[in-house]
Amino acid sequence: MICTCPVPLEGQEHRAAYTLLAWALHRLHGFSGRLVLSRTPEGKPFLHDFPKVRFSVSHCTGMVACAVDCVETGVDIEAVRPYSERLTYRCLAPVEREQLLGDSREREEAFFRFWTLKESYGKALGTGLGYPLREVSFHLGDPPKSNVPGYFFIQKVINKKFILSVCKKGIPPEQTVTVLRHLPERIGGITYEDGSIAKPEGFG
Amino acid sequence: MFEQLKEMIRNYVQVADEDIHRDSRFVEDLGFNSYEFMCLVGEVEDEFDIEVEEREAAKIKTVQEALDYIATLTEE
Repeated sequence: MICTCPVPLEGQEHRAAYTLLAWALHRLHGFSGRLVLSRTPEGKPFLHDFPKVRFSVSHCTGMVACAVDCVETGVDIEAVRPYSERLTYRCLAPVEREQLLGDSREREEAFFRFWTLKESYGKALGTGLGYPLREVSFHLGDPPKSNVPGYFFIQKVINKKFILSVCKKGIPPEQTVTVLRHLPERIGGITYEDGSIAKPEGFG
Repeated sequence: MFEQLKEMIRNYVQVADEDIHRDSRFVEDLGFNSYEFMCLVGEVEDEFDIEVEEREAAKIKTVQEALDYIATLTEE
């Protein structure tokens, strides 16, 4: 399941992302009550008691997103806006910088398409942005294509101003993105408890 | 250095100066996402004339860890 929704209060996005995740976990798996959130040594979150349930969350000002799956998955959402030129040299491969064309709005959209794809890949990989960013390159399209074998991507424009990218290992992500109108109520009374640093079996 | 870093942090997230502590986590407490954090990394590099590797940046979770990392690079 891939879902996203707006968050009206700035500064609450991180917590809201996990509220959205709780809703998705309850809908998909019937989870309720206390869930222990652990992290791998690289920082990837997982459910201590349900490590085979893979998930990813993302937030930006005004929106949150999550993806829940049975294989490694990563999601990222960003608003299209003026970007840091410095980051294009830090994070984009030359072939990607060549695709930053057109007027400022088109370049901004292209940049955040690349950025969210790289972030979604890093989350699926389990490293976040701690991988050689310029060595992984994308060609924008539907679906986006990358030079990393075995990982598949989708990308959607949400509410006309946000770019959502999802990465999935092994098979393409589902095309349907559930866009909620507002942050759901906590269904199933799910609360989170901080767990330990660990690496479950099967994690990359 | 702590005051300098706080000022830079406030360029990216709406948080009061008194709410930024050394043990504040960039994501959970200060509300950073990865894009904002990487922009902050770039600003720190310019301010302190250092170069931060992505892999090392990904390990930094708190303000104190950022200060410690900057200190190791500026001492070299």
